Amino acid sequence: MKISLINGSQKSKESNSGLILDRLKRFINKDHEIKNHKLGVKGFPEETLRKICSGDVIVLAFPLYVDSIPTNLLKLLIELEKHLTKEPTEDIVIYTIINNGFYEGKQTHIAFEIIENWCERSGIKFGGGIGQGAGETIGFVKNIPFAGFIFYNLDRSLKLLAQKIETKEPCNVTYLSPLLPRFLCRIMAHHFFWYPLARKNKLEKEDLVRKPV
Amino acid sequence: MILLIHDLKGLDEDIVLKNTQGELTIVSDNGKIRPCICCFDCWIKTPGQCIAHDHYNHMGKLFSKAEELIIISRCFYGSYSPSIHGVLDRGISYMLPYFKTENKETHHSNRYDNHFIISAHFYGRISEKEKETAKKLIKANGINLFARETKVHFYETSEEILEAL
Repeated sequence: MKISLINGSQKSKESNSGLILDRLKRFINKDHEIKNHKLGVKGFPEETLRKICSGDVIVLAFPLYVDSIPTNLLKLLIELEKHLTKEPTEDIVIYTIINNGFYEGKQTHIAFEIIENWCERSGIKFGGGIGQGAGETIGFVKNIPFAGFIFYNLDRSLKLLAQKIETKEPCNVTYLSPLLPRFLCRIMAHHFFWYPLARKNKLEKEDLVRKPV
Repeated sequence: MILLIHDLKGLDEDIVLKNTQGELTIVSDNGKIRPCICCFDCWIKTPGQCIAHDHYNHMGKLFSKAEELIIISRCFYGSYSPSIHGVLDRGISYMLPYFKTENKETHHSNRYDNHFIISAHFYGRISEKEKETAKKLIKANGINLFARETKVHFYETSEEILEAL
């Protein structure tokens, strides 16, 4: 089976969507032909679009932008729709993994609807997926010993998703939050993420609330 | 100030400005807009200002001065067009990196004490399902942009919008 993993992050460096796809890949049988596609800011050449449309499964992973999908991914979907309506296929199933900066994975539900609407226009099957909260934390905790447990439920859901992908069976969308209470996540984000990043730029926490006029 | 963000090709902005009472700022994709790469520098390096060098690095400041945000966009799958999306993506400096919990949901805290009205005008061949998605999207954007009210309208063609406005 031909599986295209599309990383829809607009980051040039390491992205959380990329990390999630790496974790998913570990659970997919090596016999399948898996191709990684990093979208970035430039988009894909025609040849890549053709390859994606001639495969069996597409897995999209991307961060939430303005409660919706990243601009460059939206451009890609518009291009793919043109391809898929020119050469219709009912064989492709698309699975989606969306991460967002907020604690609640449920806040990705509108972006899932957008993908479902795209599937209807493109004539391909919506396979469901995972909406992950506190996605920015995935990269942050990966080098902290024993901190990975807070995404234990993500790994479990990715394993189940991999099984569905291998049989091209649709599944429901699973919404996940990290295995930490919301208030603790908020405190950690402020004290271990934003403040240290600001200090690296020689800014104090008071500076972060500046109001340019 | 009214902030108009649109993706209409061939819109005579001078005529719109002339026929509008009060202050109006018009923003559209000039084809050279740089994508938001989620570097967060507008939060932790130059707070309130995007570091990309183009005409869109002050979107947060523009939002802070708006009493009404009018968005005119072709609808794609219940979302904005890429042009409009690209402009809105660049506005995250309008909020703070800090989180707050409201109605059992996490959102960013506001940098400015400003609460505009969002009037979204979508055009194109839009299915009923896409309309429902678009309504949810504008409602969610309203929460995240601290809007006091949101309105959504649908049109079959962009010409209808200009007549309605």
